[in-house]
Amino acid sequence: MDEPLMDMEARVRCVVGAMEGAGIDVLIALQGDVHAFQSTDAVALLSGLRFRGPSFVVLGADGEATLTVSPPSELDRAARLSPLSKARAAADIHKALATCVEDLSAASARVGVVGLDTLGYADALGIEKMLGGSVRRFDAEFGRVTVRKTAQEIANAERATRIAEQGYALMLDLAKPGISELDLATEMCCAMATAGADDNFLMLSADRHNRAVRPPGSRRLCAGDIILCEISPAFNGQFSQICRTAMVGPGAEVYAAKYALLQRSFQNGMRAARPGATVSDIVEAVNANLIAAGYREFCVPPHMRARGHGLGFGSIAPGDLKQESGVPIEREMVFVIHPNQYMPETGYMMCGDPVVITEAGARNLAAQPASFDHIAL
Amino acid sequence: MQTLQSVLLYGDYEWRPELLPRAEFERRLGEARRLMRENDWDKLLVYGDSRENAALCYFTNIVPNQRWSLLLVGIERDPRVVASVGPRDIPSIKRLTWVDDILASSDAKAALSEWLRESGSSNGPGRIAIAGLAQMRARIGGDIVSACGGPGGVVDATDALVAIRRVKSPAELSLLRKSYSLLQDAFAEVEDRRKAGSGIAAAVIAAEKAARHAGAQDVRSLCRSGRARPLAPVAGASDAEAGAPWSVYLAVRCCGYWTEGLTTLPFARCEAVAAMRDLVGKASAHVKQGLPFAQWQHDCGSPDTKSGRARTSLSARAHGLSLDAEPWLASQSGDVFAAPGAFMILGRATSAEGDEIMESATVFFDDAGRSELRPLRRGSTA
Repeated sequence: MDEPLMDMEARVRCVVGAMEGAGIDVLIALQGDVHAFQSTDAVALLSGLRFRGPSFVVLGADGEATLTVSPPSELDRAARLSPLSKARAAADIHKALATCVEDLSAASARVGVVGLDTLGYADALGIEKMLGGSVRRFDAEFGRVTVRKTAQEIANAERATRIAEQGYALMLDLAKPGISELDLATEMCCAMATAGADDNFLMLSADRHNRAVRPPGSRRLCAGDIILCEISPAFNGQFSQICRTAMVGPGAEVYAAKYALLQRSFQNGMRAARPGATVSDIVEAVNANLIAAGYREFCVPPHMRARGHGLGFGSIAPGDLKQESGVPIEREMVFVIHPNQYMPETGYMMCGDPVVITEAGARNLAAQPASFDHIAL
Repeated sequence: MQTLQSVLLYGDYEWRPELLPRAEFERRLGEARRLMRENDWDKLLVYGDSRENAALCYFTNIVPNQRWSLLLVGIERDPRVVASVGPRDIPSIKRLTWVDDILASSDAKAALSEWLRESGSSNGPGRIAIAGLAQMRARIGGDIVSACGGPGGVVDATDALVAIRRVKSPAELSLLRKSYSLLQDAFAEVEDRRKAGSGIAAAVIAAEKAARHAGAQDVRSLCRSGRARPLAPVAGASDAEAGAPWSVYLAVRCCGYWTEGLTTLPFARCEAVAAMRDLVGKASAHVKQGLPFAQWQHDCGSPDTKSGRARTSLSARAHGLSLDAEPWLASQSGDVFAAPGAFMILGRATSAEGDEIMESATVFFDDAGRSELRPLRRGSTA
């Protein structure tokens, strides 16, 4: 019988088990006020939310967790939306954190810390000092036991993927010579926000011959441009990502032919992405097709960056899909596979979809897999 | 006001020399070097990231769209920018700034060590001042302090640089006015959408879209539509509670400069809202160049006076390059309404129904000491 899908309670049990194994009585999971697309948010992992200001969760060996948020007005959201039953507000989060650490130190508790690097320098230094300069960093173990998304997070990733596809469909409708990249991005971002996206890592740029994708700028589209889109909305804090390429007006056959190479590479990567495989297996599968077509020298930076990556805000497992990564692929991981690639004949093109790993292999979360699109003039 | 920071800033952050000429940045850099000489700082590092970048933007025009950048300033040599991007992104960074010397590196320690070696004397790096030390992410801060020879080798220059940003140049005032115009248009969009029957989230998103299309680099928002609820990010806002007054916070960034405002929009005539608008209008009109904040509060009957059943407070702060770093004026600090600059006047009260009522206006002072009151909603007195 299949193992049940992860939920928040099961995740907390996994973390507590890891704490026990490491001899930790209390875990402090921290998140500063800078939210990054590709870094683990330990508070989001345990509370299901991210907050405007710094926040932290104190998790005991008994599984009891208390969430502290800032600014104080965030308590309303925490109380309504987080599965954690104990939440409190801190007018001065730095003081609240210091008091918490002092109390734990006084009780001689063995304290583990996750997410210290997401705090500001002064705060992190203060905590290290209070813990006697011997902070037990628990990030690696924490990361290992939280790689699986919960059923809710997977549902959120699917919803985020639908939103991304709506954003791309809108782009295809609106793109025409004369419109600026920024105006396109604004229309897309606002449409995706209306559809429920609570954040968006949107890269969109166009040129006749691209070297890479950029954030949108003031450049106006021209006939013959290749538009690159990396559309990454978050729904309820869970990101997804689709990578797409479209040409303004009809184009040379060479683009479609080369894009088919990327599509095959994606399919190869999908087939390799199954429980028990490693990241390097996926990368090898993606690259094999391109290498066979004569693009070996382009399967390295700066002609590409990575063959995909994890999708936060919670766990970003399995990390970047790079050849040297031996990270094992596990069930309920959600990540994007993208054979985005520079080729001399076409410039940079983007092709990628998010997948969830099931017992049977990778399942594409996109309803419309990536294709090379033409925008009629 | 603190909003939910996005993982990627998108907007037109390119340097516009016609709006902020190179001479303006060189004047600012000259001010920094004057501070360096006065304080015996041999080097100055200015840090900024996508979350807080006021000081970095002030000297370079750079707003990192994600990650961080660092400005390295010596007394004599030309400044250098270290941007945490890949080498292929250098052309994009060059378009953001007047600074010619740009290094792409995600390794702050190596980049800084190299610069210190290039510019160092045989006596070591000397005294190094850092702006933004406390806000740096822990690992970057550790790397930078380590490259500077440890905590004993650095001085925190954050407050000193805030002080030199306080008095605004004519070019800055012009950009603040432009930013505020976009803000007013954005609030007008919210009102138009509300009248057309839109929900609060849709109205706020429409306002963001309008402001961005009109040239805003960034738009931040918070809103509330439920009774006795605090302001929250738009995605978390509920449209469910019919009849509850809307409260909306919007901030608009234009050429680096933020302006912000708050308003409460009731669905029916509301005495508390009318009284608050009247109070903010009068309090804003009372702001004079050089007036001590404490005197202004006293004259306007705040803080925390009881007016009928509503508890009322008045506060003020300058608009500038940051939504967080610009301090609220405080009576105990002896703050005054310094000119030239732009100040948000904010009134808050709690109505008998438990709803927080908010209204703001902005007062501009130019370098001739003239003041101009601009309400948030065009055509109103406040």
